[in-house]
Amino acid sequence: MPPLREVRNRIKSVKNISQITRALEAVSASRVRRAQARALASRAFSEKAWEILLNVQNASKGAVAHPLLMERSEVKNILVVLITSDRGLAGAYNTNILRVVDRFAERMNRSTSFVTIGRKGRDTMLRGGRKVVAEFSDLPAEPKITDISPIARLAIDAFMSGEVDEVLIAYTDFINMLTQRPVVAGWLPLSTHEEAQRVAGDYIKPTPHVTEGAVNYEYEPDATAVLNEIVPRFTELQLYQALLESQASEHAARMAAMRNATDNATQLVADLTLEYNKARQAAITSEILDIVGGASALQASLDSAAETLYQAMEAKAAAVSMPVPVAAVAPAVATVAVAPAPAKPAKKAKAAGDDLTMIEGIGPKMSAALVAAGLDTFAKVAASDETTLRAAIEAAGMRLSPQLPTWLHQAQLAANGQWEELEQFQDNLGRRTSSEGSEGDL
Amino acid sequence: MPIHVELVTQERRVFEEPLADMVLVPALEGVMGILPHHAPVLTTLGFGEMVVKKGNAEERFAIYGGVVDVRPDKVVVLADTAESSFAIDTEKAEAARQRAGQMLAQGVAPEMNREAILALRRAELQLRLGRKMTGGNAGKLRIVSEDDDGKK
Repeated sequence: MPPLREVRNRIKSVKNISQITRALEAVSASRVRRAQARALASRAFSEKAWEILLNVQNASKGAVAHPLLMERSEVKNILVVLITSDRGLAGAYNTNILRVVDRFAERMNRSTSFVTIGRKGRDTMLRGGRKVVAEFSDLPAEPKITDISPIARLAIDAFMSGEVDEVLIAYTDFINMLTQRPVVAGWLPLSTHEEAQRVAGDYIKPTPHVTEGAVNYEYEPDATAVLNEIVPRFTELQLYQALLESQASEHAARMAAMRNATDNATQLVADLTLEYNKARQAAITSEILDIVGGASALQASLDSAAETLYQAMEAKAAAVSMPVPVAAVAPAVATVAVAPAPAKPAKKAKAAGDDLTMIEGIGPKMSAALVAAGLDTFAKVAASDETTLRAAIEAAGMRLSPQLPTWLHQAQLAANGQWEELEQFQDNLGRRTSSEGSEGDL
Repeated sequence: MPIHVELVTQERRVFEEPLADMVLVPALEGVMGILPHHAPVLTTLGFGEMVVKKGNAEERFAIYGGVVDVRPDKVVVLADTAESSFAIDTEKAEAARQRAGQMLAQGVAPEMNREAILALRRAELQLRLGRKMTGGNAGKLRIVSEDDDGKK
C-alpha cells in the first residue's frame, strides 16, 4: 500500500491535469466551429470560380488555356505541400497525415520535395531526411488569404518554371467532429478531368463536380484575361481551403484527444481516491491494532502481576488459617494433632479435642467446662496455667478440684504421649491424695 | 424581373440580394451597368465601386479587382477584396495613402514597389468612396440594415 501522502499528491496533480485538458477541450470546441464556418464561407468563391473555369474550358474547346491548367506529359518531380499543426496534443492528427504522406511518397517513387506548413510536419520531414524546400509555421489561428499567398506563390513559381511537374496538397479533410481523413489531393496543374487524380492512388480526394451547364459567354476583354484573373485566385483558394479544413480537423482532433484525456483523468482520480481511502482505512486499522495490542500487552502483565500477588496472598492466608479449621471443623486434622500417639488415644479420642477426663481430677463436667474455655487438648491445657484453669472452672460454676495443681503436669505427660508415666503419676497421686493431700507435693 | 446579385471574396460571401433592380460594376474598361436580361458576359474588374440598387435603397462596395459573371437573371462578382463603402474609415485610408506615397517616394525593392502601388491605389479608392459617402451619398437608404454592417 503506497503512502497516503503520495496518493494524495497524485490525486492533486491528476486533477490539475484534468482541469487543463478540460480547458483545452473547450478552446478547441469553439475553434473548430469557427474554422468550419470559415471553410464554408470560402466555399462560395471556389464553387463559382470552378464553374467559370469549366465554362471557359468548354467554350474554348481546349484552345484557350492557362499554363496552370496544362498537364505535363511526363511527371518527374513532385512537390507536396504538407499541412500539419504547429502544436501537439491533438491525438493522432499529425501522425495520420504524416503516415499517409510517407506511404504516398513511397508509392509514387519519384523525386519528391516538400513544402511544409506547420512545425510538426517540418520536424518530421527533416528527421526523415526528406527534401524540404520551404517551411511555413506559426500561421495565425485565423489565417487570411493573404497569409497563404506566399506559399501559393512559391508553389506556382516552382510549377511554372518547370522545377516540378505536379504539386499536391497533403492535408486532413474535415468530415465531421468525429472523423477527419488525411488525404493527398492533386493541386497543380488544376485539372478539370478526373483521371488525372488517379495518379496518387487511394489517397486522392475526388474533385467536386459542377453540374451546371455551359453558358455561351462573351468575354471582355477576352477569355485569356478572364482566365488570368480567375486561375491564380482559384489556385490560392484551394490551398486556403485545404488549410482551413486542416485547422478544423486539428481542433476537432485535439478536442477529442482532450476529452479522452479528461475522461481518463476523471477515472484515474476515482481509482486513486479509492486507493487513498483504502490506505487511510488501513492506516486507521493498524493504529487501532497498535493501541489494542499495547493495551492487551499491558493487561497481560497486570494479570500476571495480580496472579503472583494473589498466589502469594493465598499462600500466606493458608499459612495463617491452618489451625483454625483444624479445631473447628476437620476431624482429620484432629487426628493429625493426635498423630504422635495414634494407637491408644484413638479409641478414647472423641469427635473434638482430647479426652480430658483421662486426667485425674477432671470429670466429664469439668472437661466440658475446659473445652468451653478453649482448652480442649492436652497440649493447650499443659500450656495454660493454674489461674486460667481455675478461671475456666469457676466460670462454669463448679467447685475446684484438689488435683487441679497437678493437671498441668498430667496434661503435659498426656500431650507428650507418656501414658505409662501418666498412669504411674496418677497412681502416686491417688495414694498421696488419699494419705496426705496434694499441696505438699506440688 | 429582378436580378440575383452575389458578391463573394475568397474568404467569404460578402453580400447577397436576390431581388435587385440594377447593378453597377467597375469593369476594367469602365463602369458597366447591368439590368435584367443582360447577355451572358465574363469580364474582369478593376478598382472601383460596385453599386446594387433595389427600389430607393442601394448598397455600395469598394471592389479591388476580380471577375464578374453576368447572366440574364444573375450577377456573381468574384472580388479579390471587397468592403462596404459604408464601413470605410477615411482617416485610416488617408494614413495608408500617405504611408504608401512615402514608400514610393523613397523607392523600394521591385516586388515591394508593386505592393506599394496597389496599396496606394486602394487607399485612394477608399478615400474617394469615403468622401462620397459623407458627401452626396450620405443619408441614402440601404438594402442592408446598419446593424449587419459590423459583423463579418
